[in-house]
Amino acid sequence: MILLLLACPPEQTPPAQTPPPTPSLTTAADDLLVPLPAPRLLRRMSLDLRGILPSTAELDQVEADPAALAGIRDQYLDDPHLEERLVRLLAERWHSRVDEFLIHYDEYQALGGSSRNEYAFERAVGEEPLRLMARIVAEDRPWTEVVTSPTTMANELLGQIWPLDYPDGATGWQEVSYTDGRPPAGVLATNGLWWRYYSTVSNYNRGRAAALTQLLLCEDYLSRPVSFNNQVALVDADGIEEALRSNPYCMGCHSSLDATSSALFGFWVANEYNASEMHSYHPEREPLGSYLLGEDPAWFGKPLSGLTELGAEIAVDPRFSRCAAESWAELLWRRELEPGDFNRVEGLRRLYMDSGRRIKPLLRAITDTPVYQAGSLDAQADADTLVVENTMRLIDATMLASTLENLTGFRWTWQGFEVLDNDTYGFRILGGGVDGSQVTRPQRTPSLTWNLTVQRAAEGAASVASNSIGLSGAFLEGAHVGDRPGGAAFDAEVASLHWRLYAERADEGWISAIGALFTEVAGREGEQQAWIAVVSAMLRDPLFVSY
Amino acid sequence: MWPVTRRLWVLLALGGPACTHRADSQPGKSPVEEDTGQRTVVEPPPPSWTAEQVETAMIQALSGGLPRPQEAVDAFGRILIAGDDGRCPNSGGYTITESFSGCHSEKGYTYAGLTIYTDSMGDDFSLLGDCYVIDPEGDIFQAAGELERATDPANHSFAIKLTGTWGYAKEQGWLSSVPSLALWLEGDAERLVANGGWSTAEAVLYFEALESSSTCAQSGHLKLQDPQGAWYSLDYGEDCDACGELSYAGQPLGTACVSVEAAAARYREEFSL
Repeated sequence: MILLLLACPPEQTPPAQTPPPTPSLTTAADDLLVPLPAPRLLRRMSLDLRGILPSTAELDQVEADPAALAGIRDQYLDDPHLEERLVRLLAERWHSRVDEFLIHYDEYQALGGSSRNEYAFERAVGEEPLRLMARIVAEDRPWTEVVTSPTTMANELLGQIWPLDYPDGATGWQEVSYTDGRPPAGVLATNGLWWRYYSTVSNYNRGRAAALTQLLLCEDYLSRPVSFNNQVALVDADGIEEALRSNPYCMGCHSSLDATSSALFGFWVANEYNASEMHSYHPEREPLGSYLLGEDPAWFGKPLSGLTELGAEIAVDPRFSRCAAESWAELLWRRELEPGDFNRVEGLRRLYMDSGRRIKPLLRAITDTPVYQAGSLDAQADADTLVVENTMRLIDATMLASTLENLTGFRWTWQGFEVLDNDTYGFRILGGGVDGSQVTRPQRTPSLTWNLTVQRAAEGAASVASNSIGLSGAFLEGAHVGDRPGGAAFDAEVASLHWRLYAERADEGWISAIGALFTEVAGREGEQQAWIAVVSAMLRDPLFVSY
Repeated sequence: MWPVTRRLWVLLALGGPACTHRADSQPGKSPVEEDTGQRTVVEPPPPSWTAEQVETAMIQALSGGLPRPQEAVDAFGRILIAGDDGRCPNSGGYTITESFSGCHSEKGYTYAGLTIYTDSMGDDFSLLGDCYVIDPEGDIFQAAGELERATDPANHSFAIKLTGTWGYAKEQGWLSSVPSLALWLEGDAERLVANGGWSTAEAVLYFEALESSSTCAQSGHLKLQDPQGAWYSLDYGEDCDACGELSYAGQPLGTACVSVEAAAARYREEFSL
């Protein structure tokens, strides 16, 4: 059947052939998708694009005029939180925010003095390529700069240990350049990417070439069928190398893979466990691919002079633009693409091309799609649609952390580690997140460990919030000592929290129930504990932890 | 593993170029962006050096001769002894086993990381390094990668490997510039073949099947990278003399004469049996 579908038709002029369907962001299947109410949709957009909840004023505005939603969404695309959120979002796909690299923080004398540098080191390394991509999107620059930029991103920690022109006295993430002569190739010239996708001495960058093909073209060599005949000698390194160059079963992948690998030899190291080898570019190794792999650098058959041309070649590869549309759609739709998405994605790709290969217009278009806006399914939807569509998204540990900090100021840390954002001393995976190593996709449905993680985080955030009851600007600024359930002030405050946290208006039944909880706890443990109980319960509510 | 449906979809999407004869017959644009097959050439900047300057830079880069692994091993031995207080470093010969953060000797030296030294018959050895030493003045000895010398008395041949980053500013010769290396040398009393190269703050040099023998002073290619990252290539041709055609980005730049004979001869004499 597949062969039949792929077979080329006879070369003849087709009589009055039906033209291909015009790519569109919507399809007939979208009729089965019921959109979220405008305030909940605004909440979804705010969480996806900023990692925090919308303000009450924004919710009020959208409630009064749903047409205001698009304008607020556009403001979110220029919001300072966007860049930080994109780092987290891109990490779900690029998998570079891992907890462990081959190089340990204390291999650097400058960092070895304090174990508190461990987490900062791991995140700084892993976020380097992500922050370059996020900066390019946030500044609305062409996405092609991801593979052509002469710059990278670094903070003061990386500026201290790597060959970078990080400004003296500066702090925080800055757009800087390497000083070791590496070519301008965007993320392809970042240590962070190649530390995550490292090559052993004898792998000769093949794993790296496969990774960049998957990340930038959405083509996965590992998904190709592999067959071996019984003549292939795979018992020793020489036999394998010979087979890769001459055996048709191997060459099916390696003829293009090895040629791409050959362009990456400036990053090939003699010892992948040595910091100095790993953080430096090695220009004298650039031509080594021809010697060690027997392949001159090339990009799917097109000769390359080196890494600079590799980036430029990827930037104009039709698969790169298609992959940009695919990958951003997957990230915001929060689900894998399906064959039925082909036309939608093609519409997005055309929009991407027509808007100067920028991502912000793409994000705008994706958040306008019925797939993105769906909050439930029509009664006519079948089981297949139910499986595919993700109408209710789960807040994972990383998003929970940013949301709770923004609401209450609560940051859950241990020994310098962000507990909701690591798995060495934390609960990132348990809380539904992606570590980039063991878990590569965010959790879509609740689990026991996710529930426990949310529970502890909610308790922590509620406890912090209770320390500033009634203070201006605080989460509980509308609460006052002496307010009691049934009184106008108390009921108005919890109703306001309901609106703020859930983007839904509270009904009398809920206000009564939460008031009963307050009364119960206040009677036993006092008013502050009662507020902790109320806020903690609200932050664990399905309306809060889903979006 | 992707679901079958998704792989089918991708196959269908990628199947487009195989059927490109249909694209022109379709009204409007093809739904899939076409790969024109045109190579994207990133035009290199104009050459920043003349042929004479390249020649001078190549001669300068080779003036110290070819790196010898034994010099690095000897230098490493000296710095192990210099700071050894009997407790730090934890070493046995040239092999040390220290933590990432290292030990600090009473003599003011810090030793961090691991080395593994093995020797065999004659002067053959292998030194694997993932280590650095900081002397009391703060200068660093880098020992990262592999140094290997192997000889074959039966065939009077040798094979040398220098990979990684090795050096110490207080040493003499090639070690003083702490080069990054990926260099393989092999040969016998009659010939030497070099592949790979090294880079320092001053120069980036690469040998492509560069051969020097008693009957042919040099053949193959010698390459040099300028500070902008562009390569100049000297093709020695077939006439065995020290001169050849210099090219930049595939375009002829002139003639240059850079002899590798003396450096190669010293190497051949030392390693041949």
